[in-house]
This record gives sequence, C-alpha cells and structure tokens, in this order.
Amino acid sequence: MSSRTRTLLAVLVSLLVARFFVLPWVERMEESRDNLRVLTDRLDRSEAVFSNREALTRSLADLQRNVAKMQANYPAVEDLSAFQLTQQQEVNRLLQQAGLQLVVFDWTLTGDIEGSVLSFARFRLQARGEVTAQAKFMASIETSFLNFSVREMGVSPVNAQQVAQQGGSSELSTVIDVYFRKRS
Amino acid sequence: MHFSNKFSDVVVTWRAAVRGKLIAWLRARVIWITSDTRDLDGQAPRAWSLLAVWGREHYTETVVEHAIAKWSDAASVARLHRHGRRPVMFHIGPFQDGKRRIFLYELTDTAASFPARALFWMPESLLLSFACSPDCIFTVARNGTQYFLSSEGTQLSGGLINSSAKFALARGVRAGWHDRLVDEEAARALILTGLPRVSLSSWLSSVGPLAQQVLRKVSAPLVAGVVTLWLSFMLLGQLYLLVTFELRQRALDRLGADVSTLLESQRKLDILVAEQDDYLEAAGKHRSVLPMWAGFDAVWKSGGLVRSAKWVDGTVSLNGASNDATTVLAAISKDELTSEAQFGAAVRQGNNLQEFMINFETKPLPSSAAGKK
Repeated sequence: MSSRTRTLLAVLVSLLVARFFVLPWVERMEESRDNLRVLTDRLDRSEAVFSNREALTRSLADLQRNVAKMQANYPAVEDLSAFQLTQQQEVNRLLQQAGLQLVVFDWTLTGDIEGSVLSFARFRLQARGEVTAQAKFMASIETSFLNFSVREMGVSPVNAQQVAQQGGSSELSTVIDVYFRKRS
Repeated sequence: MHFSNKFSDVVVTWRAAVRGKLIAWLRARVIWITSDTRDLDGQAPRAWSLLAVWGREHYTETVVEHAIAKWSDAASVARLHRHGRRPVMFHIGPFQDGKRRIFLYELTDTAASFPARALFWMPESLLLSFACSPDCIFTVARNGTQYFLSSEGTQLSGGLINSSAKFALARGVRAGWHDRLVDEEAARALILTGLPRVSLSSWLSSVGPLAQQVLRKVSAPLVAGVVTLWLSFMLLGQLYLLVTFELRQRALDRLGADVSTLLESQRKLDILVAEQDDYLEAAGKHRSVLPMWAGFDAVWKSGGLVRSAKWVDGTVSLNGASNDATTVLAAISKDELTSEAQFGAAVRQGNNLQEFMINFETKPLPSSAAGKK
C-alpha cells in the first residue's frame, strides 16, 4: 500500500469518525448542557419561591384584587361590532341628555397595543349645541367611561356672534380612543 | 526635568544592553557554512542552531517568473524546478509585468558533506541582497570564493564575468552604481543586517529538512496527545454534566410537591404584574379635557368671548377676546391641572376687546382611573 493510499485512508477514517462519533457526541453534550441549564434555572426559581412562599401567596391575592378592579374599567370584548354598538348607544344617550345634536359619529380605527392585553377602537364625533352643554357632555364622558381617552377636541363657533357669549352655540369635534380587553 | 533626563538615560542604557545581549545570543545561534561550519562569532557550532546560512559556493541560484497567487504556488514552482532530490529553498521576489519573480536556491553536491543542524536554512546571497541597495554591487570575496551580488541576483566570478563592472554590464545595472568589496568579516555583519528584513513567507519556506524530520517524528505523538486531551476533556465534561444533573434533580425533588403549585402561582403573579402594567400605561396616557372648559369659564368671567379652542393630546390652544387678556392668562395659570400657560401670539386691541391666543398644557390626573401602582 503506497503512502498516498495510506494518507487517503487515514483522512477517510478521520472523516467517518468525526461524522459518526465526534459530532453526535458533541451534540449530545450540548443537549445535556442545555438540559442542565434549564434544570438549574428551575431549581433556582423553585428555591426562591419556596423561601418566599408566604409573601408570594399574599402578593398574589393583593394583585388579583387590584387587577380585578382595573379589569372592571376595561371590558372584555368578544364581538367588537356589538361592543362598538353599545358604546355608540351610550355616547348617544349622553348627547341627548346634554341636549346636543349629533352631526357625525364614525368609528375610524381599531387596533391592538403591541405586547399588551389591551386593544383600542377610535371614533370621531361632531356635535352641535350650547358650549355649556358640550362641557357637560365631555365631563360625563370622562367620569362615566374610564376606558375612554380623548385624543383631540376642538370647539368652533357655528357663527361668530353665537359663540361670543356664555350660552352661545358651537360645534364640538373630538377624537376618542376606547380601550378594551381582548378576549383570549 | 532632571529626573526625566535621568530616566531617559536609564532607558537608553537598558535598551542598548538588551540589544547587545540579543545580538550576541543570535550570533552564537546562526551558523555560516562556507568551507567549514562556524557560527557568526567564528566559533564551532552548537549541537542545534536557529539558522544555517549556506555559503554561495554550495548552491545554484535561478530566477524564474511565474504568475502565482499564493505562497503554495511558489512552493509548487520550486518543486517544478527541482532537478534531483537535493533541497531547494525559494524566495518570492517583487511583482513584475503580471508575474512574480521567484528566486530558487538548489543545494549542490558539496552541501551534502555539511550536516546543517538548524531549524531554518537560508542562502547567504539572499541575506546579503537585503542589505544591498539598488545602486550598489557587492564583490564578495572570502576563502577563495568570489561572486558578485546586486539587489536582483548573484553570479559566481568566472569566465567572462570576472569583475563587478562586467557583472553590471551583463545584468544591465543602470549607470551610477558603486562597488563594495565584502570580505568575511563584512559578510558576517551584513548577514545580521539582512536577517530582520526576511519576509514571513521566506521564513516559512526556509524550514530545514532536519527540522522537518523532527517535526514529522513529533507530530504523531503530538496528535495522539491532543486527541487524548480532547477525549479526557469530553469524558470529564460528560461526567460533570451527569453528576450535576442528578444532584440538582435530587435537590429539586427534596423541595416537595408544593413547589409546582408555587411556581404556578409565581407564573400567575408575573402575568398579573404585566397586565397591571398595561392598565397603568393606558391610564397614564389619559389627560383630562376639563382644564380647557375651565379656560372658557375664565374668559367668560372676564367679560370676554371664545372664538375657538383646540385640544390635542393635552395641549390646549384657546383663541378669544377679553377686556384684559392678562386676567384670563392669570386665571388659567392658577388652575392646578394646567402648566406652561402663555400667550401663543401677540395680544392685539380690537374695537373694544383685546384679541389673544393662549396655549397651555394639561397635567396628568393626580390619581388615574386605574389607580396607582
């Protein structure tokens, strides 16, 4: 057997050993290392929760109460259309109570807040009436709907003389975001 | 200043001393093979040396031009031009007309009687050429051997080429060159001068055959050692992973079954904290519009009128007229829920009233609808 053949055979054997013995072994070692890391993390977490179990139970109960209160402000929504209809009806009721005339109501946008349990729907509203009634309406919105967040609001006179004094008529336009919980 | 001078003197002295010791060390470990073998101090060589410099009488020199891309191509060229089984050294020269000049140095039969036990082998003329400027021709004459050397090659004295002038003519050296006679002592000094100028590729191609034999001998045990070390490392690693995993699993088991419930509680807690943060973030964006209506009230109380008002993300712009615009601004500034109240444009006197535009910010509510964290 020539030296070239011997060299080629040695290279072939080395490659076979590397492919069928070394690489699988290294992969198994890496897998074992990952398993050990996961187990270590779990053990650390377990020891931590075990030593703080009373505080953990107490905190959980407190937090559940707090979050339940907050959840009450943000309704869970399954059917978005039905929810939007309900909210629109409520807004309409407040408009009528304030004695304002609806000009435009339009749902313009819906979307999720990234990485959050909340979503939002945005509407644009235009209403005409007395300035004091508009103030009363906006105050009702703020106090009745804690999940509403006003983004924009503008008041402009229907005509310059009417808005001039208290009790004058003007047009209110506003853009409001309605926050709600996504039903998972 | 005085201290600085003393310090620099010490550094210079120290550097000179180290350099002197290094050169002395090197001179004793470089052997020069001419008619006999001596180190650069003229002493008998040690059992092993760092570098063997072959005298010009022990090799032939050929210059070829090849379009090579890498060092291994030059090695192939050297193999191509090898005539027998005698060792060939090579040096990759300058790039010229798309090709590289390669200097090949093939040992002659006279070299066989000199056992050069050194790690590297290098031809004398190569080292001298590094110390030879382009406008100079060395006439190296020692121990009955004479040859001519320029920075581009050498030729043994003989036949028609028996003077540096004829060598210059034969080589086409440009006019203006000067001659330098190099005797044995001068050659020793020039060898040391040329050593630091040898390129890495030349050092690589200069590993001597004896050193290669030694390398071949130690390579097998070296590889075996490395493989053994690697196997030991892998086995120990595997053992460590197994034992550690088992120990940690037992530690986890010792904590009891309640841990799973507690971990689940912790997971719920994390989710609830994240959810609470979402609500607080949404509530934090909330700005009340009531300060804008308070602005209306301030205008009306001053006997004025509001022409228009706009509120965008908590920034209010109120456009109106009043008997005294500053009274309105003062009233708005006093409101706890406003900040940065200021005139947004010049106040102008109309027919009876002062026309103004007031801008202000609405503060976040002190207690948000979602409650405090």
